Amino acid sequence: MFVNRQFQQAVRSFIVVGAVFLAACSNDSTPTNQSNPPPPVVDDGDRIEYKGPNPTSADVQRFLVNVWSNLAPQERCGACHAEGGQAPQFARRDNIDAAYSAALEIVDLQAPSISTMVSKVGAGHNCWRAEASVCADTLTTWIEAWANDAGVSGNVIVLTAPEVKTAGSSRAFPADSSDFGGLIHTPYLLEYCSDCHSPSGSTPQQPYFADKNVDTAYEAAKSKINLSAPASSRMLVRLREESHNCWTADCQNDANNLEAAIAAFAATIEPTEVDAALVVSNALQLGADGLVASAGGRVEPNLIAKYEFKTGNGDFAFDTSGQDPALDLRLNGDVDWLEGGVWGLRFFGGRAQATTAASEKLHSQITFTGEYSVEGWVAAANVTQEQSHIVSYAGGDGIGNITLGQTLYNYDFRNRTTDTDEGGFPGLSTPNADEVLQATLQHVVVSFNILEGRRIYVNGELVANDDPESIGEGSLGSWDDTYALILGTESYSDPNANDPWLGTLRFLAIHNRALSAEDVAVNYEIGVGEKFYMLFRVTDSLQTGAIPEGTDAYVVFEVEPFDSYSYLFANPFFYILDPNKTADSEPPIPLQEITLSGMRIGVNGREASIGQAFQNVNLGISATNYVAGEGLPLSNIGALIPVEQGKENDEFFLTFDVLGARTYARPAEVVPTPAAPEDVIDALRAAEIGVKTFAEINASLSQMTGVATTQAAVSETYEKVRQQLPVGENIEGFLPAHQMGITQLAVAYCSVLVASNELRTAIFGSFNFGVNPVTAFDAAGRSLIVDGLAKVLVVETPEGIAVKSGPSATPQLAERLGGLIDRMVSCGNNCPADTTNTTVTAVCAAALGSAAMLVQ
Amino acid sequence: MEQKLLYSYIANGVDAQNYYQVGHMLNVRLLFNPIVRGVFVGGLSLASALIQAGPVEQAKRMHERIAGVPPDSETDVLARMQLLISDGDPQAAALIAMENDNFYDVTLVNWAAPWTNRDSTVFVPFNDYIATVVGLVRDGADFRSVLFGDVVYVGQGVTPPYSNANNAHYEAITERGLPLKTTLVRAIQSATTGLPADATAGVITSRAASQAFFKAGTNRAQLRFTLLNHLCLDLEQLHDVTRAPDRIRQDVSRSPGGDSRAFLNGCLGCHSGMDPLAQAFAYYNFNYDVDNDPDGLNGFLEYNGDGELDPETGTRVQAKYHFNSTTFKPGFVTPDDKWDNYWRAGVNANLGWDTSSPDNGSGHGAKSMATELAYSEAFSSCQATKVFKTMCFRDPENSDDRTQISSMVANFKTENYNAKALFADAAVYCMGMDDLGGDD
Repeated sequence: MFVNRQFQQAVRSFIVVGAVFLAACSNDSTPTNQSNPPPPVVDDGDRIEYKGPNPTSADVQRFLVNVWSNLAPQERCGACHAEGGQAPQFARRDNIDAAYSAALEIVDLQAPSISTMVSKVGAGHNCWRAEASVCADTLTTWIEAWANDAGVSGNVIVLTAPEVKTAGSSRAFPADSSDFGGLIHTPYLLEYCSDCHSPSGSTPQQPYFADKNVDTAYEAAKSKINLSAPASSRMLVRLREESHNCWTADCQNDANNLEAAIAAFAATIEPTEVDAALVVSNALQLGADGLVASAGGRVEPNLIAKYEFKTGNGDFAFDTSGQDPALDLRLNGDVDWLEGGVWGLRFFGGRAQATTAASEKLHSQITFTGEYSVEGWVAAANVTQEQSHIVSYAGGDGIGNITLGQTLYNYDFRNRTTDTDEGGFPGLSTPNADEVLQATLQHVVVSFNILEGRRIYVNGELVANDDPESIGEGSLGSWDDTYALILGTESYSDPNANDPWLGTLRFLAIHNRALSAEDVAVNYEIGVGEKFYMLFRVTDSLQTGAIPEGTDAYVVFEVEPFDSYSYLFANPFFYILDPNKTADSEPPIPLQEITLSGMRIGVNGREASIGQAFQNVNLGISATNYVAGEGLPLSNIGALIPVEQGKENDEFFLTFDVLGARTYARPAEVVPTPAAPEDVIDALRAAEIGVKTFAEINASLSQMTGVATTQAAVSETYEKVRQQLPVGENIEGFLPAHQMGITQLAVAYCSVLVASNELRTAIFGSFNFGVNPVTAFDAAGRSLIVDGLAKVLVVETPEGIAVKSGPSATPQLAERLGGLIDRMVSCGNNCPADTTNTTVTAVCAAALGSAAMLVQ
Repeated sequence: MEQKLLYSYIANGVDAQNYYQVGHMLNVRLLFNPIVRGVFVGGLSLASALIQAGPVEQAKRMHERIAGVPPDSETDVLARMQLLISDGDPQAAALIAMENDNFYDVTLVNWAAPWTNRDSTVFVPFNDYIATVVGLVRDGADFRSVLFGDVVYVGQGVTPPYSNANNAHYEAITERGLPLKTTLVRAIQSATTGLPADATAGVITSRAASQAFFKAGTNRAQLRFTLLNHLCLDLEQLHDVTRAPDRIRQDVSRSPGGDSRAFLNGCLGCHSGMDPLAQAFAYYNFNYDVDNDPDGLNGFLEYNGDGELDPETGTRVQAKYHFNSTTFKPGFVTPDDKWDNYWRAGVNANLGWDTSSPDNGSGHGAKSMATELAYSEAFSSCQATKVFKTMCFRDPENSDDRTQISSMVANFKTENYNAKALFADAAVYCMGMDDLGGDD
C-alpha cells in the first residue's frame, strides 16, 4: 500500500493500493550514451568522466549523471566502493550498469531521504564535508535529482503499522483551586496582573486569570499554565521572552519567580494516568513513529545553491545543492537557528554570508545561462520594516547583482542588468494595494530571464512582473563577480546603514534557470520542512466485527513541525490496514458502520487545552463512504497543537467522544461566574450633572430665541462650530474651546433674534431698538432686556417661582447684565449707529451662551 | 484643579459671588469683537445650582436629559411632569418629555449615530440606520428587531426618495429640519431596498451599516461593530482560546511573524468564535467604485440570492470570504452562510444566550444570527447600559447602579422590549434626589 502524496494534497488523503515499483524506473527507453569502448576513467579530483560501457537503460544514464558522477571520485566514495573494493560497489568505474545495480540496493527513490546510503553517510560514514548531515542532505539532493528525472520521487509513500503503545501519564489540573490560589494567584496574578486581566481592572482584557474570584481566575489560567513543562507556560513565556508587563525592572527575575511558583504548583499534583473514561487511540511520537512524508518531487534540475538549514546549530548554514563549490554561509551577528526541530534561521538583524570567492559560483553559473530564480520560504517578523534586504548577492550599500527585500507589505526585487544602475534600480515590487507580503510563512520566488524580464511569485502565484511591452534588452553582462551572497541584514558592519531585516528563512534555493510558473506552483505545493504521517491505532475502541478480522483501524494524520512552537496536524483520514495483505488480496473495508465524533488530540497524557480543530468532527464510517484502499477523509482542515517538550519527547494520542463501541460522557464545561466589578470610590465618581452636547446646545438656543435651526445664518454658524462644541456630557471634559464655540453660536442666534422685529418683540416687548443706546438703555429699557432674557432662561414653576436647579432671576442677573450694558454703551452719544442692536445681541449671547443654558 | 472646583460649586450650590466665579472660569477671557467681548466681560454670571431637588427640579432635569432642552416655558409640560412626579408616577412624566421633538431629533439621533461608522463618531450625516433606531424607539416597537427586522424608517413625502445607492434622502430630512417624530414612517425594508425579505436584518442590512461594515475587508467588521454597539462587548472581552478553531478562515495567519504562539493564545481567542458567526454574512458585500468613489458614497449593498453565484468562489459566498487563501491553506473554506455560535459554551455562556431558541445557536444567514445576538441577555443589558449613560452621563459605578441596570432590563422585557421604558427608567433614576431620598 502506498500513499499518493500529490493526490492527497489535492483531495486530502488518498491511498493507492498496488504496485508502484522501483522497477518502473528502469523500464523505458534505450540508452542514449553511444560512446566508444572505454578508455580509463578520468578522475582529476574535481570531476570524473565515465568512459566505460554504455548504460543499458535511460535510468542507468540518469543514475550516472545525477549520482555516480558525484560519488565516484576518489575523495568521496570511489576510493573504497569501486570495482575490487568493498561492497556495495556503486562507485565502480568499469561498468555503470553494475554500479547502478549495487546502488539500487541502498537507494529508495520513493523517499530519497531515508535511503540506506543517506542514513549511512548521515551517521558519519566517510563524509567529505564538515558535517555528516550536510553529506546526507547533499546525497539526498543527488538521489532526488535522479528520482525526479525518472518521475518517481514524491509520488508514493508506504503506510506501515507503527508499534502499539499506550499513552503515558501526566499531571492534570485539580478541581480545587486553593493551591493555585495560594501559590500563583494571590502572590503574582492578583498582585501584578489584575489591573488588566480582570473584569474589574482599569483596562479589562481577557483572559481574566487575575479575576479576584480565584475559581474564575483558575479557569482562565489553565490554558496559560503547562504542568508538564512549567517553563513553557504561556504566562511565563510572555513575561520572560516578551517582557510583557514585568513588575520589576528585571523581567528574567520576575519570570524565574513565577516559574518557581508554577513548578511548585505542579509539584503538588500527582501525575495521573490517562483518564480511563476517555476513548483513546494508541500513542505515537513524531520522530520515533512518524512516517517521513517529505519532500521529494521538487523541481530543481538547475540548482546551483540550496539551503535547508537542517543542521540546527553551529556557525555555518551549508549549501546542499551538491553543486561544487559549496556556497556555505557563515552566521554573523544576531541570527539564530530555529528551535523545536524546525529547520530555518531566524534573523534579528544579523546575517548569514558566503565568501566572495565561493559566491563567484553564482556569477559564473548565472551569467552563463543569463537567467536565474531565487526561491525561498520566508516569514517576515512584521509588516512595518522598510528597505530591508532578505537575500542579496551584493557588494555594499546600494550595490548588488540581486536583491530580494521587504518594504512594508511588499516584496522588492532588484536585478542588475546593463539597463539598470549598479544596485538594480529601478526595482520591481509587489503591488502596494494587494498587501501580498504577510508576516507569515510564504513561498517567494523571484526570477529573471531576458525574454520575460523579472517576475515575483508568492505562494505559487505570479504577483508582479515586468510589463512585456517595456522589457528592455538589458543583460546580466554588468554583473560583478566580486560580490557575496548574504541572507538577512546586508550591512552588518553598520546596522544603521540599512534597516535590518527581521524574520525567518526556512529554505533557500538558487537556480540558474528561471523557473516556469508551473515549476513554481509544484515547489510551492510540496511545501517546506519535514512532514510525517502518523497512524493512530483505534482498533480497540471499535465494536466487534466492525472491521475484518486481523486488520487494524487507524486515524492517519499529516503532521509537521509548523514552527518552533507548534505542530500542524492536518487532513486526517480513517484507514483500515491489513498487515497480511498480498498483492492479490482486496483491501479491507468496514463491515459495520463506525461512528466517530468529537476527536481531540492528546499530548503527554492529556488533551491539549487549545487548538482542538477536530472536536466537531462527527460522521459515520461505512462501506458506503469508505473507499477501499483509500480510506475516508475526516476533515480537510489543520490544527495547531502547542509544542510541550519538543519533537523527540512529546507523545500524542487521540481521544473521541464517540468511536465505534465506546462513548465518553464528556463533563459539561465549567462556566465560571465573573466577579462583580468593584465600586468606584466616591472620590472618583462622576459628577451628577453634565453639560449639554452640541446638538442640545443648538436646540436649546433655538428654543430660547425662537430662531429656527434651519435659519441660514445660524445653520451656517452651527456647521462651522459643531465639532468645536462639547461631544459628551462629561462636565470634566469641558474646555475653553467649547465655550468659544458656544459663544459664536449664541451670537449667531442672538443676531438673528435682534434683527427680527417679530422675534425680538416676543422676548423684549416694547424695547426701542430704533434709538441711541443712552435712550434705549434707560432703566425701563434695561428691565425689558433683562426680564426678557430671564423669561427664556429661567425655568419657573407653575407658580412662577424659579426652579431651584436652574438659574434664577436674582438681582445678580440684572446686576451682571447691567454691568455689561454699561460697558457696551460707554461710548455715550458718540456710539456707532448700530450700538443698540449690538449691545442687545451681546447681552443676549452672554446670557444664553452661559452655564445657565449649558449645564444640565 | 480649577475645573473641578468649578463643578463642585455647580454641584453643591453657589452663592452670588460664586456665580461670577463660575461664569468667569467657564468663559475664559478671550476677546474678539465688541459682541464677543461683551459676552465674556459681562457674561456668564449665571450657572445652575443644585440646592435641593423637589418634583419640579426633578422634572426639569429629566426633561433636559431626555429632550436635550429645558421645558418650554410657553407650555405646561413642566407642570404636568411635576404633577406626575408628585403623584408617584415619574415614568409617566418621562414619557411626557419624550413627546418633545428634540428627544428624537437630538437625543436619539446622537445616541445612534456613533454605531453607524467605524470611527464611532457622532458627526455623521443622518442615515437609514439612525432613522430606524429613532423610529423603533418612537413607535415603542420590540427594540430587538433593530438587528433582525424587515424594517427601515424613511421620511414621509421627502424627496429624493430612499435610494440604495446614496444617502440623499436622509440628508434632505436634515437639511429641511424636519421633525423626525412626525416625518419618519415605518417601511418594509425588503420592499424598499429590494433585498429578499429573509435576507434583511434590521440595521445590519441598512445602507449605512453596509457602507461602514460590509465595505471591502472580510465582513468581520459587521459582526465586531454589532457586538460592540449592541452587546457592549469588544472582541477582547469575548476572547476565549478554548473554543474549537475549526471555522477560522484561511486568511488568518497561524504563525504571525513566525510565532504560532501569538495565534494560539491571541488571534484564536477571537477568531474561533467570530468567524463562525460572521459566516452569516457570507452572501453580502458593499459594492462601490474603489477608484472613483473610495468612500462608497454611491455604493450599494449586494446580496447573492438563490442561484446567484460569485464567479470566484463558484457559490453564493462572496469572493472576500476566500481572499488570502494561501495564508493558511488548511484553514476553513467558507462554503455557505451557515453560522454557529461557539460562544454559547465556555466563559461567554455568561452572556445569557436564549436557550429556548429551537436553533440552539446555529442557523443560516444574517437574520437568524442577528436574532441570536438580539435575544441574548447581553443585548438587553447593553441597551440598558447605553441608555443609563445617556441619561446619567456616566457608566454604572456601583452596586446600586448595577441593580438599577438589572431592574431596567427586567422592565424592558416586561414592556415587550420597548426602549422608551429604558429611557424613562434611567431618567427617573438620575432625575435627582427628592426630600424623601433617592439618587442625588
